Amino acid sequence: MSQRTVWRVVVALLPLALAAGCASTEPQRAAKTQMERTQAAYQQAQSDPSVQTYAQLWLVDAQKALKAAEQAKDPDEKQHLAYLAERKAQLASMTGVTAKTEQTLQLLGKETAEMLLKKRDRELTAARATGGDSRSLESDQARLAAEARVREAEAQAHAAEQARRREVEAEAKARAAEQAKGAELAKELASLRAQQTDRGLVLTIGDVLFDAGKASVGPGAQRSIDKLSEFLKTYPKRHVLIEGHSDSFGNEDFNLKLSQQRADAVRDLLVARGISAGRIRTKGYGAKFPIVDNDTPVGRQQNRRVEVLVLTDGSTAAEAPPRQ
Amino acid sequence: MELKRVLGTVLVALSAVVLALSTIGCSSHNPLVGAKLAQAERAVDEAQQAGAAVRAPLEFKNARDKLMAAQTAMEKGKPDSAIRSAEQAAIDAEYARARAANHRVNAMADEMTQSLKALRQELERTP
Repeated sequence: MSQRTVWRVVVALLPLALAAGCASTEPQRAAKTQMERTQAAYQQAQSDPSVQTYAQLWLVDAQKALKAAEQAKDPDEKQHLAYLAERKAQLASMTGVTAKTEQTLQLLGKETAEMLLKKRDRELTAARATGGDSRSLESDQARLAAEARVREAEAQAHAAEQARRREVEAEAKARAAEQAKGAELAKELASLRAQQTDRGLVLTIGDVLFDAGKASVGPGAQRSIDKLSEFLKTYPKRHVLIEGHSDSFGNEDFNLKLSQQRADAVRDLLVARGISAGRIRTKGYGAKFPIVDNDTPVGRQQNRRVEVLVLTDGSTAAEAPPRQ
Repeated sequence: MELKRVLGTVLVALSAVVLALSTIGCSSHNPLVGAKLAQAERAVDEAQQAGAAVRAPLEFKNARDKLMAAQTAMEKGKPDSAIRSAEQAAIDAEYARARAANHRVNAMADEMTQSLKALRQELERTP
């Protein structure tokens, strides 16, 4: 066979090979592979009990998306819809698993709190046995340390609970379709638990959103602060006063310092999000302004807080009078 | 004869204009493209704010790449492709956010388990 003949054969066969490659396969094969992955992901999500308990919404969504993909004719469209369905199934699984871990976190928090109480009890008994009539300085410190750890455990349990609630809220929010920006902001402020008082609009950032006994802000507060900074960006003329408060438990100097540091921490986060420091003033008040009695742990927790006072249009942070 | 030729030319010109207009109409004025792109951008933003860039970097990058692909497709006048990429970017971003949240609670659980273990040992040591 001459070389020329070989070339002729090759050239003659080429269109055939191309036609075979295009007509039956490429997009269709891709769609089929994707459909298989989607079905596997859906079955996995469906058979997971924690998905059934915590992520029903996502599962229903995934099922609908899977049906839409099955009915699609065009292979590109089919592949696309199947991809969306796969992700929805994975979201169901992930949401379920996260919620389950959060449940565990709550149990761990409770157990920790119990253990800490037990430990504190023992320490007190030991201190009384050795210290005689009056409490020694050492046992007082031990008591303080124990109390701080009980608080920490309380805070962690609350934080876990709140994190779960936030997820649910976020899921619900994601579902609520497009909304006007104004309505969105109003809703966000409401979710920050803003209260109209005679001093202006007050947003409270609760103790559980801070790391226990520290001024650093936990992940839970980031969202509140995001919303607040968004609000302040929308209303660039508004100034804010940030006030830190503590409960009446423990050393006054420490409380004053901690409440100031917490207020400063909130300011720094706002500044980091692009809010001018000139619009913000901070002050730590310690235990001076409780909102409820300091007699119960729940009451004390409510008193440990940072209040963000959004001043009315026109008044500035620099000239606002300190609290009397 | 002359009339026919003129008519033919006019017809060709008209159809060219209609074709051009419809292309423009699709590429830049399809309201669905804008809405889907905005939705995807918001989802990516929210994922970033939830720490997905750090806690779920691969998934987050995936979402961002698709968002960019959607923007490019829109600029090149391919609305269908832009809509698909935007839809995938949005769901990828949500997935990245969910992974980040999962990562966070896992870390918290580990930490609490550790501290509980230490506490238990301490309690066992003191009678």
